[in-house]
Amino acid sequence: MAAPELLSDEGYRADGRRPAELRKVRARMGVFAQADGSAYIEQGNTKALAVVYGPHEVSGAGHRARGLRSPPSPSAPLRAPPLPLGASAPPRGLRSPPSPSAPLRAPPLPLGASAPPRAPPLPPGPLRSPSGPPLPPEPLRSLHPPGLSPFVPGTPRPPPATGAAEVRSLPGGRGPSPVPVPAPPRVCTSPPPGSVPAPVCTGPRPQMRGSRSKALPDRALVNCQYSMATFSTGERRRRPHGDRQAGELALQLKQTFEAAILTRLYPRSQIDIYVQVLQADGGNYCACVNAATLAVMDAGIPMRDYVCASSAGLAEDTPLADLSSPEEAAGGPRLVLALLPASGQIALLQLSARLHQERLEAALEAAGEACRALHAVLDRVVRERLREVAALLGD
Amino acid sequence: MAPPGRYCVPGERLCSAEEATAGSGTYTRHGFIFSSLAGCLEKRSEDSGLPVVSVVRDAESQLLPDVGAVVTCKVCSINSRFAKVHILYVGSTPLKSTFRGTIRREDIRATEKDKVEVYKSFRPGDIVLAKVISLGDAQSNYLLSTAENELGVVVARSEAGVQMVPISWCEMQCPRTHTKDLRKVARVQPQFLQT
Repeated sequence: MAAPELLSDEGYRADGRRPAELRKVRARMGVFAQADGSAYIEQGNTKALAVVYGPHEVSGAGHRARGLRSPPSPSAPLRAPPLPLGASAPPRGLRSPPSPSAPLRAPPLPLGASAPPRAPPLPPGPLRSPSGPPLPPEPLRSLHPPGLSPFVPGTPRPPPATGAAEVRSLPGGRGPSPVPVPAPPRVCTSPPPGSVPAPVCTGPRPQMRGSRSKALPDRALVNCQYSMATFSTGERRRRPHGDRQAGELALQLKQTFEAAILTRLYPRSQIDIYVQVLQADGGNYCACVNAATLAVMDAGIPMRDYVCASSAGLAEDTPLADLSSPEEAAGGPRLVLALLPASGQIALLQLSARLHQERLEAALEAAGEACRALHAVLDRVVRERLREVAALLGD
Repeated sequence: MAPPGRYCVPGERLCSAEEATAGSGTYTRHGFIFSSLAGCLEKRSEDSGLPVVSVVRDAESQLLPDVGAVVTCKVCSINSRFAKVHILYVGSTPLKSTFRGTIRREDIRATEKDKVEVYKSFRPGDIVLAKVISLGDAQSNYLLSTAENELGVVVARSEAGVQMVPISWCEMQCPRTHTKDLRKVARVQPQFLQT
């Protein structure tokens, strides 16, 4: 099943981590002054940028008039009817809002740059506070783990269990701690504003008319775009976005965030979330979800909770948390979980390759622990940012 | 430097719904109040009933025009049935990106609605104070109304390019050429006028 190199005899992974250990996380909020909210995250070698605009008037394919529009992904399976196993939760409820980007480990980004903080805020005036009486949140239904296999879009259902699976428990009592990995060579400096092609917009925003019919009368429309830089993978990519994978991930992001953002406070408007992967080394979607959550928080858009995403896999019955690219390519099962940590609700659960039903719980547990550890890191980032902003404004 | 209040993050449980009322930046769930923004906690005590708990950010996020709000907009085009405007300010807060609105012919005035001519009420380029009456449906923009004395044209330029002075509720005069133009003029409160 899994290649033997995933876990050495002493219990170390290929990059020297323990099975339940996360990669080093660094994140920063407010990297772009021109966007409403932005964030940058590094999880190990995976680097992702997220930019949020809005809420603003509904304007076609995002607030920028772009020629390229990623087609809605063929993720019809994601909306398929509920699990025939009598699951208590249809897959729709699994969508979690993308988590804010991973928490910053230390305030100064070791990237060496001091990205300028956001532009000074608008003077407060008589504002329409978006929430009068707070609205009852839409119920997020969570998956009850035991005995249920998650609905996996596009893969055949796992065969019925035969024989017992031996599940090794996680190293006792120790949750995944983001201990730094033997540091990869420091590659990039802080992304200079404007280096990211897609989401950056300077000057007045062009408006594309004619899609007013997309506006929802009682909620905001969440528009996501996922893009991978051409230099993000080993070989140069021809199409940064617009391909099926990007479309599918964008749709997953959209569904995730529609569950986390309190969209009912902004009827007939649109929130744009653009994520770009600058370097892809496993866990692309997770890094994007984490970055996007931080960016949404940076934009001041109200959310139910953080959304923390992490991947997990199995190496001969040992659950591995936060898979890197070679581990993903090894072909074993890969579970992606996006979680709202405070309530424990699952927003997105995705599994690729087959996983035995009896091992699901262990993998899910590992992913859940990883998400909670990420939440702690992200929380530090956000609080640090709050202090930073308060200090800037207080002077 | 102002002493920092308690910082909150989205998803953080603030208090029980019996101790306080949820204000802006919060939501309630299962009888508890949670924060929905990353910002400072604020507790205001109301005279009637429970204190109001809200989370405020230093930089306010984008506003949306709400029903009943007075907005400042700029007329971009007119036709015989309505005037199309760009909404620039909500109250006194500028919007980062403009919204589009429509003022229908029957919403321009409160009296004699059928005798209104849009051409004699607004012209493209005028700055107008209006009130939002509807968020609009799937096909339309925000619907605005100027059917009050305090609403209507505030700033208009004459054909000579000079800012006109209002003479009555329906006329404005250019100070240079002394020609009178017809507009639906807003009666701005004296304390807001700058002379």
